[in-house]
Amino acid sequence: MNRLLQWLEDRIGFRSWLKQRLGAPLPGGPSWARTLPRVLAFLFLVQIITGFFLWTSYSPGENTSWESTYYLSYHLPGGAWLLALHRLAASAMIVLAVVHLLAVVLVRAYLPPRELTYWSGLLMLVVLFKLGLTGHWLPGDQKAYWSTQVVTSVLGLLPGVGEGLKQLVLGGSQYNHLTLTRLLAVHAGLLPLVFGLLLWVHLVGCRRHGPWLPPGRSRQPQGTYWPDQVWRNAVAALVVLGVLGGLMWHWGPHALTAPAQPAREFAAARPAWFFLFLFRFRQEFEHWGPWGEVLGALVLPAAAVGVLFLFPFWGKWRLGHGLNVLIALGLLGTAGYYTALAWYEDAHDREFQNAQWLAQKETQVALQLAQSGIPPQGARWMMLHRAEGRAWYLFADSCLKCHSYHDAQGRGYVHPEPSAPNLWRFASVEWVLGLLDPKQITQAHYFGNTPLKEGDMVSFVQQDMPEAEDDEGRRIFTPEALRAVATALAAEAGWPNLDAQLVEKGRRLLADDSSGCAQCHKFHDAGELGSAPDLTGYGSLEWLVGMISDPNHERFYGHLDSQQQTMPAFLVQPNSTNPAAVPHEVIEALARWLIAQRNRPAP
Amino acid sequence: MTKLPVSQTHSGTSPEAPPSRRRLLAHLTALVGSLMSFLIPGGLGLWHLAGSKHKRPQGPMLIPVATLDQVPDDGKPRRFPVRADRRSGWTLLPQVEIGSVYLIRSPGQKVPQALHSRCPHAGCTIALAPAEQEAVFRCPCHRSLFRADGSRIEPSPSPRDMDPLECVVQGNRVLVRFENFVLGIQERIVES
Ligand code: FES
Repeated sequence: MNRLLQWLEDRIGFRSWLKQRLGAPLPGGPSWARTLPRVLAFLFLVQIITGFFLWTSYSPGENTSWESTYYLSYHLPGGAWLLALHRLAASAMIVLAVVHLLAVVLVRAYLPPRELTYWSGLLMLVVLFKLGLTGHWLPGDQKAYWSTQVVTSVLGLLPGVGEGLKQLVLGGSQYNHLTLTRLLAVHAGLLPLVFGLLLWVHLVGCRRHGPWLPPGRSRQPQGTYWPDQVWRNAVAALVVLGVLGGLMWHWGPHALTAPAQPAREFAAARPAWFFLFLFRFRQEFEHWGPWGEVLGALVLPAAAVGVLFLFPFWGKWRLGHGLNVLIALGLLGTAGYYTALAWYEDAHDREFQNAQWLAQKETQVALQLAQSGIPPQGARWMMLHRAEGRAWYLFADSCLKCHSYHDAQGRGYVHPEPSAPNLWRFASVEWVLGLLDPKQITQAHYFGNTPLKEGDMVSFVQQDMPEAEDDEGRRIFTPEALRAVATALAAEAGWPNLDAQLVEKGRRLLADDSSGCAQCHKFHDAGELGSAPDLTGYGSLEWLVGMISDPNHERFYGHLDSQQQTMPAFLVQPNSTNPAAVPHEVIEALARWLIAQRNRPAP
Repeated sequence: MTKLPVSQTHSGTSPEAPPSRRRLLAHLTALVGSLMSFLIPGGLGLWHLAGSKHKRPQGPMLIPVATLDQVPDDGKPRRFPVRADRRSGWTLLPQVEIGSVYLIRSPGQKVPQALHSRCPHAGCTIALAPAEQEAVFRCPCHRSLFRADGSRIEPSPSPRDMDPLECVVQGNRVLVRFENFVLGIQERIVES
């Protein structure tokens, strides 16, 4: 070992170099504050390490990027954590770099002779944002795709060079295989290289001019870099890793959304959090036309960075320093304000909440489908052609056009003006109980906005039911009886864990054709079709498939006149006029999906 | 943390100074801390890389490769592709060529003999030898020669005879239990 070190020493002076670095005396002594830039450098190395390993599993391209990201996160060991660490460390770098910059501005550490150190640091921050941007695009999922679209379209608006620049980034006039191949080369090749070079300049500058110390503090060396500063650095690095680990644990490692669908809308598109301020800021310029876009998204941000560059020139004067602090805090405040504003608006925007819910569900469907292997045409194709994917889009595009799908807390899809019942936990005990409630049945949640509001069921529930008595003059539809009916119907639908006795009792009421449900409804052998939907197997797979296929069949709402039949048939038939109609297997997949959702706590 | 008083530390210019307890702790923390902070991302990555092995979806299945009329009992070898679903990373390739077999049926024989077309030496696909030779098969890569029954003609680069595969006839269909064997060794071991 010693001989090897000596050999190295003789060739490249390794040993004395190491000794000089590690044994360097610390002017002003070791410090915790000085661990911040070192942790930043450490995080850069973490990105290099995790990035390299991600690279071993990632495959850029239009129908491999989502697929390989999916595969590495859900099938390869540690992949999800590796990706999460890479993502979170990027965020941490941005946060810490901004803190570092702010500290430098506050103490005027940018003054000559440290200008170059300062400028290289600023450029590193810019590169960091670019790394974050390109990294956000690589998975090729919905959020990545739309972010790519938005950013490159703004780029394309740049006068003169815009179109060329956009084509350079996209590798063509449109998003294609080359887009992600190029982005990977930029993200994993060019940008880290530039960052590394800047870091080198930064470090050389730091070493040459020594650490910044408060005026009046002695520069008397105390301790040496190893171990006095190193152990502090290591502790700080471990603390940061620990925090990132905790966050990963808390949020879960996965962040992949469904594969990009260029032909569909995706209202949940948002940039990575560190670009959210820009996303919101440029909205202020939207009504200014294309120039406003360029101004808000490119010119003003660039100008802000430009001003930061000028700090060293007037920072030595008192007034200049004050101005710099003001500008820095102002910029940070603006970014913070717009980030918070975007968050606040999204949190209070029902439409965005709906879109996010749709995105989440779409992701679940995609992940489920991908599990059994993605077809060679890719995940996008899979979602559009496999029955389960088509079923989901049928639900999102057609069912939710009229129906709502949310729980009492408003989790799920809240239709602004539903014209059909809320389908969340359809045919469950609570759902049926609500329908049988004279007050609720005419609310938007049930028949409130449908022609059935004037129908026989409503008048039965509101007028006949409360008065119905048996031969001995006792009320038939007591609360307990209603619960029994609801339980029996839930049993038809296949809901689990029901009270068998209640089910029995409910079935008797359902089949009672003198004063019970079978007066109008058919229920197994009791009652007849022709005046109300069949309750046999109500809400079961078979029933749902039939209902969605053709709601106006004799078995369901065939008794209504055509004006009242508002739900179209979704089974594609030779004479079907519904453009959204689909083949049987898609309807069956939809019914299965609806049933599978029952086991989930919230929609 | 408070800074160590100068008297307890040393300036670092004289590494031979007697280490105090706190000094040792500082050394240890610096060493272990640095190692750990890099081991966490590095270890995660290595685990990711090393653990990424392709799992075979299922054991060997009987795969239909030909009809009986495609293999007349004339003792001549014919090559047939073997098609099955193949997993390539995230992709499921439906019914793609996963290899090929030679089927030979000598006069009067009902069930053909099946030979793996992959050379046991280094895995090249074995071709038919030019006519009028003792050898029926010849590997194009390093010229291993094999007879009609798959046996080697020595000396041969191939460490063993061609790999026979189980062959079954069901009605008019010829099915083969297709599997790959470890290359380059004398024993015939199924590839995992
Ligand atoms: S691979 Fe066939 S002889 Fe070498």
